[in-house]
Amino acid sequence: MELAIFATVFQIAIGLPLGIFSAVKKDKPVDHGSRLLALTGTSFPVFWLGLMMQFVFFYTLRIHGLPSLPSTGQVDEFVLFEYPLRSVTGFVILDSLLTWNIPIFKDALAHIIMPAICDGFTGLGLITRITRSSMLEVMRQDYVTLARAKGLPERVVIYKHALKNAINPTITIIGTSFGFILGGAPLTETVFSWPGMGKWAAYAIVSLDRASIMGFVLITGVIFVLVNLVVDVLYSVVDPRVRVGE
Amino acid sequence: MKLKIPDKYDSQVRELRYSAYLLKHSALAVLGISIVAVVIVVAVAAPFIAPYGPEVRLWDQKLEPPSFQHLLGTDDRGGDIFSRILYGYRLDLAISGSVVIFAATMGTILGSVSGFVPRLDETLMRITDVFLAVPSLILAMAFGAVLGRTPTNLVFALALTWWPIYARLVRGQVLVEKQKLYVEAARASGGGAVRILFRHILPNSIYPILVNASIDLGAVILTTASLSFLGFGVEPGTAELGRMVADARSYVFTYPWVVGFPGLAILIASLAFNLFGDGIRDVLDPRLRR
Repeated sequence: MELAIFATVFQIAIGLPLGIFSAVKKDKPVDHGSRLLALTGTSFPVFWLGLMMQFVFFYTLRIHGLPSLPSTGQVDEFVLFEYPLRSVTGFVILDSLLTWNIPIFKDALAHIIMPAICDGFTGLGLITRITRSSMLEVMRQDYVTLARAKGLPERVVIYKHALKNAINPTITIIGTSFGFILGGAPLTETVFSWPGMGKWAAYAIVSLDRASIMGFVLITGVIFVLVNLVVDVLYSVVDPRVRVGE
Repeated sequence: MKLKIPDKYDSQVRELRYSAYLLKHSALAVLGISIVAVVIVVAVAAPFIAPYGPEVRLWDQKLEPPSFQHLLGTDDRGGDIFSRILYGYRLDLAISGSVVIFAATMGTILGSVSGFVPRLDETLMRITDVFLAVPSLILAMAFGAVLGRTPTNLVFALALTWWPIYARLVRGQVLVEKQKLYVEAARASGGGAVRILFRHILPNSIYPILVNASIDLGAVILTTASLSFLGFGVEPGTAELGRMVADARSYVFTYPWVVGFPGLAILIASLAFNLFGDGIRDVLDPRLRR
């Protein structure tokens, strides 16, 4: 859950601005760059990306005596031993904040960075491309020209006028990819020894543990239904045209 | 003056020429096509190019760094990584090629039936939905676990996961084409349902299938590698790219090239197919033409 949230935040933080930027600067180097990035994202072997990140950010930094990111797990055993964590919600990061357990919070945060980037990288390109194409669609319309003609600054035109109308497809994609990561990314979780559902499902399948498999499939189904519901609700928040009962 | 009778294929040839012209002017697509060509040639000619066999073990030369003797170094069992990558391409391309062909055929048949026969539509589409709802990697893992660890079973597992996308695509196409006048004309002149579907509708909806297939090749290579990384599909020690990464995982910090090069090989292949498919889609889809 935490992993999915962080991965999604990473995706939105990078993907959305990049998509807007490449729509504004269509056919410029930025656009080609983001296109290449998007394609690289979809064609990167996730497990290899994870291993290479471990090699660079854990091993290489460490042997040079630089601050490095931890390579596996959710939180360091030693830190956990020294500062025991009282479980409130079951989410390590949230719990550590609630009980004001700063060392654990820092440690868990350091642990989540690499898996989150790894998980988010695949969907990043998709978000960028979708944002770009829907922005392009919107910016061709008359009211954007009108806004420009009124003499509004370009920034206002893009963020206030165009983006608001172009965000819907992006929300759909973010929802789907959030569901996917939430449903477990077995590859990332295996590489980073993350105690997540994907890893659990992979082991369950290997050992033909039927009850676990059924449970996993059921949970995944429920998650997808819920995510789609939330996406639909978000539509009506963003776009008054799809509001119900008006 | 003699009038030229328009040839049946004239417009198609012109269309094709225009497409080729557009394709030539997209640098990324050209790059993709070139790499795809190189990968295919290398995979087909692996036995002639590779300096060592895929299963050759030089026990006295374990974990050697890249050198002239072993271009990309050797792995923990003394296998030449360069040769193993070439053979890995061979296996992975064979797998992903068969998966795409299987899945596209199955999806096309089911999708066209679903689009053409309203009575079966609802049933078939709900089955498709069930397949689409489960994450593809997990579904393929489940099939792979049930069927057993051989490359052939991996093909079946992946094909069983992949066909719904094609079924959806083809159904949509068939629904659109069905409304068109030429179908009515064919029906009016007494064409049977099967004939109309396979001689008239399908040939007219083949482009999206081909585009999707070319993009899918890359995705299937990636999924194949991921599955064998997780331990499905092929036996440990096989010259398969994902398996090579998995087998060498424990050496990632001490002997990075053993992990690095096979992974890079996967990235290159799947990126090339994606660039290629992206270029093709831009060219064949008139709406995306700039």
